[in-house]
Amino acid sequence: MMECCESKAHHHSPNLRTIAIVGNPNVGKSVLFNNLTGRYMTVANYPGTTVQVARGQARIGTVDYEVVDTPGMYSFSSITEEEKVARNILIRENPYLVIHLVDAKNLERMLAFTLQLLEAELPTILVLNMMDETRRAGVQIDIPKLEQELKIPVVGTVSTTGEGMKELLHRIETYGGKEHHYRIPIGGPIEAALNKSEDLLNDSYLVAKRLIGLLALEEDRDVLDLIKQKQPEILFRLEELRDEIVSHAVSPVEYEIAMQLKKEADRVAGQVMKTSNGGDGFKEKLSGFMMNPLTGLPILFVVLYFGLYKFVGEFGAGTVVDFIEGSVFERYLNPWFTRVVTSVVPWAVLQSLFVGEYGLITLGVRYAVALILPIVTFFFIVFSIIEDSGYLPRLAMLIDRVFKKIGLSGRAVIPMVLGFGCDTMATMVTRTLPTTRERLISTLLLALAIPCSAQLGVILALLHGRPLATFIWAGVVSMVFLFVGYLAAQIIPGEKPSFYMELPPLRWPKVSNVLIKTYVRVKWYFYEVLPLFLLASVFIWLGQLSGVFDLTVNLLKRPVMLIGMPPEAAKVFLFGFFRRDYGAAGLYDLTKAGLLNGTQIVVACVALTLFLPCIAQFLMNVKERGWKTGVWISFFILFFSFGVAFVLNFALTHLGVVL
Amino acid sequence: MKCTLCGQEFNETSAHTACKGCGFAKDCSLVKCPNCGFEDVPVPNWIRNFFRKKQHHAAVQTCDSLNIRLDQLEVRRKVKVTDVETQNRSALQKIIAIGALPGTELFLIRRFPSYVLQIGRSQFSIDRELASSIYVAPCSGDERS
Repeated sequence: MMECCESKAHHHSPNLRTIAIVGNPNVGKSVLFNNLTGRYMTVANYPGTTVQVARGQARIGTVDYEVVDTPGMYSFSSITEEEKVARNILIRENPYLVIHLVDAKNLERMLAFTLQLLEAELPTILVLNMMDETRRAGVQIDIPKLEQELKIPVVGTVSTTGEGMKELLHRIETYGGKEHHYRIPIGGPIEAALNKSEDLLNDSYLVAKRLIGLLALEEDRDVLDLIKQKQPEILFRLEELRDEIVSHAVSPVEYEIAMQLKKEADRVAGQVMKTSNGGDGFKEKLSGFMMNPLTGLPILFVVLYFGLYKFVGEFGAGTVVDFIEGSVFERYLNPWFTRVVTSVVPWAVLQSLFVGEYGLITLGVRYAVALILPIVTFFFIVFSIIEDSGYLPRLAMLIDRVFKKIGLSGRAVIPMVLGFGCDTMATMVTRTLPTTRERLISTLLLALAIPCSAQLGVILALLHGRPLATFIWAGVVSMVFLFVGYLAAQIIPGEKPSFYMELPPLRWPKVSNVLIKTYVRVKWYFYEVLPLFLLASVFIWLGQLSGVFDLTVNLLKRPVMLIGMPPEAAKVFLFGFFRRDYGAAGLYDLTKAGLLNGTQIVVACVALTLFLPCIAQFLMNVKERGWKTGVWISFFILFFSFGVAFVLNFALTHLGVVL
Repeated sequence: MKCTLCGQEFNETSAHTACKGCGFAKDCSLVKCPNCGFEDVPVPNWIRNFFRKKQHHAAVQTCDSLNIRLDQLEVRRKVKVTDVETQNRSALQKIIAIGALPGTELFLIRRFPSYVLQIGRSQFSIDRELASSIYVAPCSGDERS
């Protein structure tokens, strides 16, 4: 999702001191990371996983540090792949300093993890972020007293405004790497087993043996692998200890530990936190309206109508695209390029590569710059605003029950909404879903039934002024979404999803944040897309030269006519494979030429929405889900989309619907 | 179910006793009333659920050790978690992650379409499965002003 400023994929730099920023999701880790590192950073997959980790360099005082922005985690017992990565960074990379960033107003809940870090003997600075919101909520925290209790540096900050950053830098600069011994006895058979496991672990581990022993007793795969590398002989002894605990029939280890940590955290928090009543009545009310289906669905409708339809669809895909494509390209750039190329390049064949009907410049660059870029930019502006306001988790909560029927949980709403921007990017984001089953179902549905913003823009423009046609299109696509999701949930084996999500307070989106996010996303998208558009143009050019293109178009003519389209539409479907939006844009040209009637437009819009994912998404499917699944999904979609279009056309013509 | 002809209340699952001796009893979806022998069509579950009124759970009277499952709690009540019971380890880890551990006070904001809890100053949304493994005891003075 983020771009690499430095292309070489470097991982852990051995010669720099590492500062790891850890904490729950949504506490502002990335903002702090950006504050610390400035410009230089790399984003790379954590070895052996698909989780991206951002690393950057910071000069604090006279020393250079490597700063790592770890994925969100709640405790050392990890659930998702992201949490595992964050945990592995802590226990394998021997950080010089760990910055535990917490939401200050929820200190009592997040303190448990601070205690776990201390118990692991990791050198920790506790940073209480969002001090402004905390003060507004009427919470007072006695920071010096907290330092005394924990015996580590504690700093209060507001990372979005930079408050407290100076002090944090100072504390990092003067950090002495103090020894701290914090131990929270668990008691009972688990404590006994822990002590025994600590005795067994006599190789050198980078964190406290107590933590290693504890994770081993929790049957944590990664930690067991680590022990296997160092002391394979003790694995069976650890297993005996584990059996011993089970035979004593106490609750799972992580539960007992969480209980003890909570007790200690409550005690500490009780010493340092004071609460008087505060809170924002209006935001609470609005939040309530968003979560009540009676008011939440109209709110969703308003967001979709104004955000997607009016702003992205009409303004972005209409006004702005018309201006850039109609005026800038067709009037000035295309003729100019055509003149230049025809005068410089003597061969007609080569000329057509650049400026022909499907030329690199006249088609590839034009589609990417004039059509896709503005639409996607407008979409990401809307998405960033929605994301920043805290609306998405509320939407997830609202829709969880429906999504359960299609084998997903409310969490999947984030990739799904993002899919309306770019399905390729959304497919990448399905990684954040906890089970393989959910990832597979959402990948399939994204590829099939979620039109991306570029497509959506063109389709909405096509359907403009035809309310009934729009209704039929939306109805059919939604039905397909639910029906295929339902079937997939019946067929695909695996654990049923369960849903939990934190609902952050509603916030006014910050303009600077929205702009930066939009900029980063559009840049990423554009770098991904432009080469593919150019490649697609080259493919079509090659295909035309060699006759493969005509052959394929001829092959496609039959099925295209079967769904009631004029044969010219075959080209559109072939384009559609190179990029779905490319196909939609081709359709736009056909309609402008007056080749389609109302029914045909609806059928074509449905077919193109459902049709094969664009080549980028196909590659992403293969990358994320493997060859077999990626190809299988595409195959299914190919036949299914034509099937639905055929049935729809049949129904509309035989029912005599005039659109 | 209730027989639409004679009004007799009977259990659908035991109704097949009335079908004894009928050659079509196997693979037959009709239900025969054991009282009058009238053959009726059972109402599918989804239709019945559709018309069924939402059940209102009995209000909890006392603050003492009475434990109820969170999914059966009324909204706008302040309660204390007393126990977490689940066989599903990943569900347990999720409950630990949101901090709904015994001793924690929580406030149930919504039940539908998903459960929304306030724990400390954070709000969480969880589904029915997770809610049903959390046991709580209501506290006195529970209506938040």
